[in-house]
Amino acid sequence: MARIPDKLKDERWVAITEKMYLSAFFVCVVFAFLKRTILPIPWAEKGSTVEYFFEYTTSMPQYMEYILCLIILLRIYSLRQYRCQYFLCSVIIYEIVKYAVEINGYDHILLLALLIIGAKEISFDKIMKLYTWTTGILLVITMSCALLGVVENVEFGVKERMAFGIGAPTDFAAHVFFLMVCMWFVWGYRHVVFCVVLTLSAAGFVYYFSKAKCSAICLIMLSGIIVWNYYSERFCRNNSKEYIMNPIGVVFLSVSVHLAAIGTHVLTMLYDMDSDIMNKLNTIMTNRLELGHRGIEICGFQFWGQRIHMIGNWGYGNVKGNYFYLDSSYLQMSLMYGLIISVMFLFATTILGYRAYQSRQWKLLWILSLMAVHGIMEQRLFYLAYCPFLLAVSACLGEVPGEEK
Amino acid sequence: MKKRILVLGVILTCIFVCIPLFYEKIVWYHNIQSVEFPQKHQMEETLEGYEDEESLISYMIYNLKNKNMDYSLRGCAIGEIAEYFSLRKYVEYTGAFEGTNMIPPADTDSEAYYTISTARLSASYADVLTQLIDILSYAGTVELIAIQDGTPEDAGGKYYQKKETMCDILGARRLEEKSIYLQLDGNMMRLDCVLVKYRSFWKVLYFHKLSQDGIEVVDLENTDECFENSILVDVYENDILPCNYFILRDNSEQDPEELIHHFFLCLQREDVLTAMSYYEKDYSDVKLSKILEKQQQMALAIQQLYYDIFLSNSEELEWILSALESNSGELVNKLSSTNMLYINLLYIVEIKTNQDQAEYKIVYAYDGRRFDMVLHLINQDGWRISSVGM
Repeated sequence: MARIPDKLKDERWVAITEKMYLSAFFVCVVFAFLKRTILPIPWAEKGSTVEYFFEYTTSMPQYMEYILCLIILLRIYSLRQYRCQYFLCSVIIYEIVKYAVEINGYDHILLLALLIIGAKEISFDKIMKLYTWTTGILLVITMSCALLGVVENVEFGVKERMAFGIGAPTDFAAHVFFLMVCMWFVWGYRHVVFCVVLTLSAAGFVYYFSKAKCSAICLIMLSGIIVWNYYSERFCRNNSKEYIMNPIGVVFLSVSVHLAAIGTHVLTMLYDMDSDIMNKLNTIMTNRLELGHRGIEICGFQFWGQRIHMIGNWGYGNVKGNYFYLDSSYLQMSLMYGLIISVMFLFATTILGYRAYQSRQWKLLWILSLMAVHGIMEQRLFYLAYCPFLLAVSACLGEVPGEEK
Repeated sequence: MKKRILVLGVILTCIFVCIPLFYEKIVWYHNIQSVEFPQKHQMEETLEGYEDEESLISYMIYNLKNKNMDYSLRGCAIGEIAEYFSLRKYVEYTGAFEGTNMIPPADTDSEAYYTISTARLSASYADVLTQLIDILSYAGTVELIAIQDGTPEDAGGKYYQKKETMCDILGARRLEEKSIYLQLDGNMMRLDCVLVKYRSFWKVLYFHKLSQDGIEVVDLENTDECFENSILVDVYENDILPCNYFILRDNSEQDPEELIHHFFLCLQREDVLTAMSYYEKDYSDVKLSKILEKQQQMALAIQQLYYDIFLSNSEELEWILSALESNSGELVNKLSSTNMLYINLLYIVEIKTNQDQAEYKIVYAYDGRRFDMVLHLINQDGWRISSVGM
């Protein structure tokens, strides 16, 4: 068996492969974000050599997948320990997701899986800084273009819901929400008052201009969490103690995604059009229960998922013609991506909660719970353009080893 | 603490998986068995198909001679046409759309339409095979004398173009005409037939010349031609082709509203087999061809139901029909049974009910408009559907 050359194992090699991963990640984020906007991208026109990037959310190009695989292999090669175990684990995950994608056709989950695998031993802070700056700048550019008239600031429906250059008003609101979460994660409490005011302003903005209730509510929750977390940590610091979150709170936040997924499914399955309570709840959730129930009854659950042709109304608010859209991330996960992918996702969030606790990343635990709430109403958890936090499953969080509280 | 998070996470993941599985296996209409035949243990085929035309014809003649309708049906292109018939190409070539006079399209890989086409085609082939069995059984001795190429002597460009067009519409690889020479009680007869090739295997398309239309026609006539030898067909005694048709089970529900809910759900789920199994059936006549004929009527009723729903927008239909050749893709998309996903069942109204019969109205929304359909039910040791009207 060939010996691994020492030079391949040195720090320089690790740094090179890390840069390769971050470059690929940057490219993926840019194109994933642009895909959600209505900005005209000249290089993405038909016949262009980079058209494949623009289209990857619906059909991921083979060589984009190969490039990521190659980077992952180089990353694994540069690992200091557990190289074989990680390689084997990566191959199994890749093969499972690949097989599911071949059946259901949603290859953005393959992209996400590859990015998660490749993030091993890369600082999550570094990934998040890159992501936040990239999406922040892109969102500002997109909004500016829409407001300056470079692209149309499309208004939807009678309520005049604005999308500010993004495909739909709720998409815009989701971008703002996740960007605020990313900013809180990256910059934390440097200016807590500013942070809270900014978050509440964002909530007011998306509610007033885009009429996006879910993102507005989640932004208000985020501001509450920022204040609570800040004062909890400050209280402990003043008493010369390290802040440790309440164990019940840790467990609850760690499994919040599981609880939200189970709750969403049970509620949707129990939906009955003859029940007044259910009808009221369905109205509050803007028909999501009825549509989810219909989806479950007609499409059913498959192990490897299925292609469901959904028709949305792009935020018009009034249903014209045929309409069928599964908004919940959890319903999309179980019905479209399949039960196998659902298990992998839930297992990944368990690891995420575990690792967040191990590394005392209390913010990450709170973010996990915000993701859980947002996922009940919207389908953003599996899209790189919105939610990068799943990368924390394998990225380096700076764990405190051997700690058991 | 770390262990607790992991254990709880794993437990909740297991609970999450169990909920859909429980719902799918137990709650969702009790896993109804919709097919009586073929069951898994009845899949007794000994070969996948015949790679040469002569073997297929010999197999067919052997089974027709022995009045074996089941095995004879297996030699006909039922499943193949149901799977590959392209309405889009048919419309492009002919410029005509004949609604439910034709089998539904296979262009959208619809499971519902595959079932409907199978039911309709199996009844049509059973009809033609019944005619042939009657003719052959009327004769004392039946001998297969020769199989010859049936291409007309004056076949020109148009003939070959028609063959090519038909292959394109049917999704077949090749299409051949054959003349089968049979000696019935010493009389030489010629039976014309058209065979189609799908993948590597040949199947019977027609028992008449290519110039004629329709499956149910038999083209058998006397001939003066003489041949010296005959072809032995008894060697095909042990050959059994894969089953390509079905016989429905007789299903019912104890509650009429439950029946309506399940029936509509089956239509939405493209589970036409189960939907058809809820129809009232009278299988007192045990002849296979009669059973298939009744199934054909049910399949036709369900096809009509689908078409009425999907083509309910008369302005859009008018626009499609105004330039049919160029709108063929649009027509196929309109007819796709996956569109059932967009139907919103609003409510079910009881019109009248007594002990033996009931009438219910289903109100649903499709394409932004409201429609209703009336279901007539009958109670015979359980509720079944007797008819459905829009």
